[in-house]
Amino acid sequence: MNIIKAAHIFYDYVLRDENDNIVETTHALTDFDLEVEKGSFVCLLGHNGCGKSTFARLINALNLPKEGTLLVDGMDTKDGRLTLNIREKAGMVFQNPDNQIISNVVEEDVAFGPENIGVPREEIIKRVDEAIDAVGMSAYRYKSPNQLSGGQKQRVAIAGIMAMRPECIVFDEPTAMLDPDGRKEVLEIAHRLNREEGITVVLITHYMEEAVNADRIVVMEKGRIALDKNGQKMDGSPREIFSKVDDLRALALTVPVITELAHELRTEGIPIPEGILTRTELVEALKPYF
Amino acid sequence: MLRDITIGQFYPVDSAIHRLDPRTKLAGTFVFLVSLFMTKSVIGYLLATAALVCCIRLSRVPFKFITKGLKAILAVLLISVSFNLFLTQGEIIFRIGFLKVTKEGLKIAGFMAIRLIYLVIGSSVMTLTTTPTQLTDGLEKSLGFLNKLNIPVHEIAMMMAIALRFIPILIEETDKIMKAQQARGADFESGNIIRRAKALVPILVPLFVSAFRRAADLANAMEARCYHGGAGRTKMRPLEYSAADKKAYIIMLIYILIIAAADFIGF
Amino acid sequence: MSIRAEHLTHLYSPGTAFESFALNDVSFEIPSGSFVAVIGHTGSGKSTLVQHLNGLYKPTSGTVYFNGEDIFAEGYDLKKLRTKVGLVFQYPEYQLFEENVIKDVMFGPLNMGLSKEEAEEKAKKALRQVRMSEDLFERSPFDLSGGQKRRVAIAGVLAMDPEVLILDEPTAGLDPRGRNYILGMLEELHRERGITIILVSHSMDDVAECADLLMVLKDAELKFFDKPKEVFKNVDELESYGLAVPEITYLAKELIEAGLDMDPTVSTVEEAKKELLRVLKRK
Repeated sequence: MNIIKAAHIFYDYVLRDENDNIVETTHALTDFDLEVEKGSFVCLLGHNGCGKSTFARLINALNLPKEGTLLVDGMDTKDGRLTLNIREKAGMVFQNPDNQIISNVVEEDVAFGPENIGVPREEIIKRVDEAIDAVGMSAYRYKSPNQLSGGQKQRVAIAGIMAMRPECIVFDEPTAMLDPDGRKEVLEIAHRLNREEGITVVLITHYMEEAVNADRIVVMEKGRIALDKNGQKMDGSPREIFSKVDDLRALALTVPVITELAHELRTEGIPIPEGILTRTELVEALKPYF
Repeated sequence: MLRDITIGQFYPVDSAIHRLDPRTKLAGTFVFLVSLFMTKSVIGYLLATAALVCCIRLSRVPFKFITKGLKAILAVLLISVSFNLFLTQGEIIFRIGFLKVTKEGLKIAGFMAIRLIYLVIGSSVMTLTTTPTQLTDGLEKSLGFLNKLNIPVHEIAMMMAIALRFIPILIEETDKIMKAQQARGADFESGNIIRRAKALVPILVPLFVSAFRRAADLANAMEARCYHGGAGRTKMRPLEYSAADKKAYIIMLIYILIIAAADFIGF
Repeated sequence: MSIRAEHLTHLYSPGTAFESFALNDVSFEIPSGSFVAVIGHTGSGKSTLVQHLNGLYKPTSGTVYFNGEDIFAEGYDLKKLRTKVGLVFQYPEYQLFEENVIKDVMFGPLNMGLSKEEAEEKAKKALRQVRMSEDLFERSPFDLSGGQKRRVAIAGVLAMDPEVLILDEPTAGLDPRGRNYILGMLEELHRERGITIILVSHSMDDVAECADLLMVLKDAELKFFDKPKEVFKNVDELESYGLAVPEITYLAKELIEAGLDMDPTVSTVEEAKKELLRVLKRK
């Protein structure tokens, strides 16, 4: 069952001057297709400008496609009457932790979503309790966001989305502004919510290490799914995708350091299998040659 | 460190005043201010003083916090007191050089000083005992009737709440921008007024750009959480009057009646 | 060029109940022309430390000597120091403000008292050093991409021709292409202009390739200041500081534990490849 179904999506950014004349048109998405299965953890990978963030904003109807259809759990994002329902189903966590938090008190910010959709008072309190607990921030419930670290703020943002009881959460480069600890915190929660609550996760990132643990990686380039040197779509498991070291390099992306080393050794004649992702795997693969 | 500064800093302690509904406190502050500017009688001032002292004691906020706000208006205070002291015509009491002090001047300056000081202290008691969220919630609810005049009360309250949330952040950002420009040799200390005003451009432009960007991001985040204005919103902790609030309103009523009466009788 | 810190100590809220060390008795000397990486957890004091080196922060005790002079002495020209010790803050693109790129980069030189022509010369040179194409010079900085903005901001500091360039997490928030670009650019600057570079970072992997010296801070104290390979030998201690050694170094450790006799100090893919080929092809 697909929770997100995007078909033949086109989206342009148009730069206009003061007289409303078009100065520059950027084709951000070109004939883009993607289906996301319910409960999966999908990673959208690509360098800045490939269209991944643009697509993210189409999922929860913050923007509408110029052409093509985007269905979220069967609801068409172009239907204005369904916008609030779509946003309840598909929540979004953004890059800048501070610029997502409305209120001065953690629990009040988490309540913002449910308040907006008119959830009755007792239910709001219940949802806020559960959401704050789900992200491990119960001890900070009454604190001001100004006293929190970047990772903690992102956790509050995630709680704010969880309080809306979504089925899918889109994470748009959620760790770009965080330190390594913060990054770990956020990813741990994303994986836990996916595993334990069955929330579909769409993670947009350009950090390879974050993609390694996804179920599926989709590599984007110039508004489409990237093609490898054989013309195949770069859409598959982490092992499949990271095997294509040369293709990724050509796209100005990197692979995890271990995968890169394995690849280098292979090209120098040591027969190591493709798709090595972890240190343990590489050690095992090299053992026969000690 | 800068992040701990909030406007009208909230002092977290449990007291009768803290527990009052923010609308009650807003009404109380309003009534107090009206009484200050209305009364001309000595009894009136004495009553106002008594009321203020009572509120301060009940709020359990240390006195030095309450008087912190006075620092800000020190300049205004001195100017208005001096003006009234030296420029009022009337029965001259004594002279200092070419400056003359009149009996009327002394009286007016004295009352003006008291009014200003009580105004600041009264407002401080309000802000020290009410969180920014409670304040904006209180304003939103009590000014709700303005909706009938097509004034978007909820939206304005939301704007105020968000502004309060971002003030510490913008203060910190200003500091960062200043240091970054200083690292490029910018000088914010020397020069005349015009020079110093120009020197602010490398701080103000980035600050504005950043503020706009934050606003755009925040709007997206709010929409993503289904914000669509005030219609149909519920509240996790809605404001509800308690018995203490009702008593407070009665006390306010009695207070203002006595003050009006004292004035009428002409003390 | 010499920078020397002596018993540098900086206290937050001294004398109050909230007193804490931002820097605690930190002493070091930066060799001229070196590429130094400063690594530490958030809150370790690294950002505070570098802001002392150009006098933006004053120490509670101890001092910094630049070219032999005490920069916190009475009458020392800090404004001039900042043109010699350039500091690029984190997310420097947030400081851009002028109508166009070239004017913004001229800000620093103009503050130094140079004429408009001289400032423009220096700005153009700096922009070329950050590989910014000339057709973007007249554009508004706000119309550029994130990576381009960052290069303009760095050019803004380079235009003052500093002897030392300090950068606080210059690759923060950039994608892999952007990261490689900036690091490559810095290596080139270091190689060709002999500028001393001090880079503050979180990532051991990033700095393993380019740093001559590694400074490790933990809880306001200086724990290590040595060549990267020497520092990486202390895996357990680094981990107790919440830091990791490069991924490749961990791999070497695991390979050695599995019975392979190899150099344990490899830290980059290139080094590991050479070493493994040497060791394995012997069989």
